[in-house]
Amino acid sequence: MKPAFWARRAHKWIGLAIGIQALLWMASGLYMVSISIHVIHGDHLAKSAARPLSGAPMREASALAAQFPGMTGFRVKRLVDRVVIEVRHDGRTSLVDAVTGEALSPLGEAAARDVAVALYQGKAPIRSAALIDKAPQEVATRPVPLWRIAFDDANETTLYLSPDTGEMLAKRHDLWRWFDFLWMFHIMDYDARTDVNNTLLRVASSIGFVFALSGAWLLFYSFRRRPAA
Amino acid sequence: MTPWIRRLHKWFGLLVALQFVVWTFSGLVMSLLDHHRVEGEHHRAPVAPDTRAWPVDAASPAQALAAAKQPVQALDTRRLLDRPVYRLAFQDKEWLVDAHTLAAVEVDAATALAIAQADYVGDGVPGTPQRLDAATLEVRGHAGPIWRVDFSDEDSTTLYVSAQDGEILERRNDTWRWFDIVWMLHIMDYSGRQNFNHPLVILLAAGGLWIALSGVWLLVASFRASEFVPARWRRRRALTVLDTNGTELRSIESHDGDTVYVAMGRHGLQLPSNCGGGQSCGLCEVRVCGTPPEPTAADREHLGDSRVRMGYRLACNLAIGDAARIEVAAGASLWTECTGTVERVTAVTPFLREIVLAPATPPGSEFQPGAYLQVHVPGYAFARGDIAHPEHHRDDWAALDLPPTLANKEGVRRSYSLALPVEKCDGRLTLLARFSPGRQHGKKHPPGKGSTYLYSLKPGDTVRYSGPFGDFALKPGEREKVFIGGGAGMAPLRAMIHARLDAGATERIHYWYGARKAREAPYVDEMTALAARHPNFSWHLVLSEEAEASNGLVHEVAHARLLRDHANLAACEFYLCGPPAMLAATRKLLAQLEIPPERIAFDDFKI
Ligand SMILES: Cc1cc2nc3c(=O)[nH]c(=O)nc-3n(C[C@H](O)[C@H](O)[C@H](O)COP(=O)(O)OP(=O)(O)OC[C@H]3O[C@@H](n4cnc5c(N)ncnc54)[C@H](O)[C@@H]3O)c2cc1C
Ligand code: FES
Repeated sequence: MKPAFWARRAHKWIGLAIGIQALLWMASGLYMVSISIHVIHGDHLAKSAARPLSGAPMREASALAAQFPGMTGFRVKRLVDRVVIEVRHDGRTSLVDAVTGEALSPLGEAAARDVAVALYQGKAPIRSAALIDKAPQEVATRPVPLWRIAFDDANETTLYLSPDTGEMLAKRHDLWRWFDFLWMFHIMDYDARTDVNNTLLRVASSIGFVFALSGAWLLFYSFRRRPAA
Repeated sequence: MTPWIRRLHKWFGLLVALQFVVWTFSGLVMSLLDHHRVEGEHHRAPVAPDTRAWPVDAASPAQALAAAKQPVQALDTRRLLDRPVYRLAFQDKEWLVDAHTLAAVEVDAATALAIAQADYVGDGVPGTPQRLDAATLEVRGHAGPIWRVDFSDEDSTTLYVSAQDGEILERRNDTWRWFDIVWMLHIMDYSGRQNFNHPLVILLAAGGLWIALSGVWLLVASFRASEFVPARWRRRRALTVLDTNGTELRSIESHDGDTVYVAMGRHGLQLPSNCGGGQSCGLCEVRVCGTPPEPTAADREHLGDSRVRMGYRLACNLAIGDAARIEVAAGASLWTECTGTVERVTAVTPFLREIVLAPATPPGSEFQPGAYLQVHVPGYAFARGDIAHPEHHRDDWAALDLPPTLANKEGVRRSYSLALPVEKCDGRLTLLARFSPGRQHGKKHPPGKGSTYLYSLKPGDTVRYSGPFGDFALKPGEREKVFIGGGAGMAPLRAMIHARLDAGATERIHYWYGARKAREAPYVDEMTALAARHPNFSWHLVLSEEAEASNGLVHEVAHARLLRDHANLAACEFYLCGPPAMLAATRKLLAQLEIPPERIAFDDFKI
C-alpha cells in the first residue's frame, strides 16, 4: 500500500474520532477572534467615571475605629454622588457615608438601582433587580450575596453589585454569554468552564495534533503531481 | 457537489494547514502546562488576613487628600511591609504617601526586594532588583516604572513589583515563558502577544472553520459506515468474476467495505493498474452485471459517459456490496504472471527504446495490436551509469539532471503497449518505452520508476509481466482510417498499421505523427518505406519545434491538410494515442468536426 493510502486512512479514522471537536474548536475560535475582547468585557456597557473626591470634611480615622472596633483599614471613594468609606473590620467590609458616618451597607434595592443606573451607559430601563444568594454560573466565582440588576436592552445587559461595597463585580451581556458558552467547548471543561488542564482536553488536543499532522501529510500527497498512468 | 468541495477543501487546506498544526500543537502544550505553575502559584507565599488595627494616630484621610495637591479618585489604606501608608489613585496613576507624615513614599530597590521575598516561597535566592522605566513583554499591560526581581530557582522565577505602589504585578517563570510562546503562536500576535482580534487570525480562523466544515461534510458524504468496522465483524460478500463472454472465471468472498479492486487483489486477481488503487490511472475498469451503482466523478473522468452508461466502473472505486457479479476483459491474465527474456534493446531515439522480449510461453491470440502488458517492475537500485546508451545519444543523456542512484523501493506495475503485431516477429513481444526523466527544472522529481527499469534492461534479462489488457483495438471492417499520435503513442499505432497492411488492407490509411524535433521521431525510415510500398498508406511527420511551413501541432496540421477538406469524414475511423495534451486537443477537434464518438478509438497513457 502506498503512503498516501495510509495518510488518507489515518486522517479519516482520526477525523471520525475528533472531527466534531475540531469543528467546535474552529467555530468557537472564530467567534472569539472576530468579536473584540473589549466588547466582550463590556467596557462600553458600564463604567464608572473618574471623578475626583471633593475636599469636604470627612470622618476621622479615630471616629471610624470607634464605630467599627478592630478596624484594619479603609478606602475612601465615590459612590454615585456621594463620597463614601469602605471600612474593613473583622474580616468584613462595611460602607458608611464619609461625612455623616451613616451606615449604608448592606445596600438596599433603591441604592443598588441608583448605582447600576449611574454605571450603565445605555438608555434602557432596569428590567429587574434582585438580591441573590446563589451565584448563577455566569458569576460563579463571585462572593454572594449579590445584587443582580438586569437592564431591558437587546443585549440583556446584567450588572452584579456587591451589597457591602457597592462595587460592580461583573457585567454580563449576550455576547459575553456566547463567548463563555463557546469557551466551554473550546477548553472542553463542561462544568466550571475554567480548567484548561482537564484530561479530556489533553487527550482531545493530542488527538487533534496527530489529526492535523495526518492532514498535512495527506496534503503533501494531494498536491504532488498525480502519479500519472 | 463533492468533487469541488474536495478541491476547495484541499486548497484552503494548504493555506491553513500549517496554522492548523500550530493551533493544535500550541493548544496541546497549553493544556499540558499546569495552569497553577504558569501563574506562578507554586512559589507564592500564602497570605494571612491582615488583623493589625489601623493606627488611629495617623493623619486623617481628609488631610491626606488636601496634601495631595492633585485630583484623587480613591484613597486606600495599605501596609508597605509594616509601614502604614495611604495609596492614592487617579485614573491609571497610583502613588503612596506615609500615613503619619504624608510624605511621598518611594518604593526603592530594598523595599521591592523585601516585598518580593515576602511573596515568595521556594529555595530560590533573589538577585538585585532591576528598575524598568516601562513595561517589558513579560509585564505588558502595566504602567511603569517597575522593579524586576529574579530568583535563582529551577523555574527562573521573576517577580515584578510596581515601583509606584509596591504591589506584586506579575509572577513569571519558565513554565509561563513557554506558555507565553505557544500562546503567541496560538493567537498569531507575534509582536504584542495579547491581541487576538487582528485580521490575520480572523482570516485563518475562518479558513479553519471552512476546513472543519468541509471535512465533516466529506466524512459524512464520502465514507461508507462499514469502513469503520473491523474487517472480521463485517458482513462477508460474494463476488463472481466473469469473462466478457459470460464464462465464470472465479468466485471470491470478501468483507463489506472492501473495494472490488482490493477484494480481487486479496485473492490474487490483480486488475491492471498504474496507480495502485488510487482512482487516478483509470486502468482498473470492470463492468457491473445488473444494476450498477451511481457513477462517481472519478468514474466519469476516467471512463467517459458512454462506458459509464454501459455499466463500467473503476474497480478501485466500487464497493464490493454494490456489485455481486462483474465482467472483466482480461480473463486469466488477472492471475498469471508470465516471464520473458530480453532479446534485443534498440535505442530508436534518445528517449524512445524498443525492447523485444521472447516470452517463456508462446502468446495466444489475445495479443492484438492496441493491447498492453503490465510489466511487473521489481524493487531495484542501480547507479546512473548502468543505463547504457549509444554514443550518438550521449549529449542528450548528459543534458539530463539525473540522481547518482536510481532506486525503486517496492514493486509496482506499469503498462506498455505492443509496438508490433506478435505474428510479425515470431511470437516475440515488442515494446517501445519512453524515458520519463522526472521533473528537471524547479522542484525535482525522480525519474519514472517503470521507464527507468526498462532502460536498465540488457539482452538476457528476465522480465515479468501479465496481460494482455486493454480495449484499444482495430475495429473490424474496411473504413478509411486516420491515425493521429505522438510520443510513445507510436507503439500501439505502429502495431495496428502493420497489422492492417500485412493483412492486405485496401482502405486509405493516414498516419499523422507529431514530435518536437526530427531527432525525437522514431521509425521514420520504416514508415517512409511502408508508404512507398503501400499506395493506400500515407505517413506525415509533423515537427512542432522546427520552423517549416508544414510544421506545427500535429492535430492542427492534420486538420489543415486533411480533415478540413475531406469529402467524407463521416465514413472515417480515428485512432489516437499520445501525450495527454495532444490527445485532449485532438479529441476536442474531432468533436468540433462532429465525428461520432463510436468512430474514435484512443488510448490514454496519462503521461
Ligand atoms: C494503457 C497504457 C499504455 C501505455 N503504453 C505505453 C507505451 O507503450 N510506452 C510507454 O513508454 N509508456 C506507456 N504507457 C505509460 C507507462 O505505463 C508509464 O506510465 C510511464 O512509463 C511512466 O511510468 P514510470 O513508472 O516511468 O513513471 P512514474 O514513476 O509512474 O512517474 C510518472 C511521472 O511522474 C513523475 N514523478 C515521479 N515522482 C514524482 C513525484 N514525487 N512528484 C511528482 N511527479 C513525480 C515522473 O518523473 C514521471 O514523469 C502506457 C500507459 C497506459 C495507461
Ligand atoms: S487502479 Fe488506478 S484507477 Fe483504479
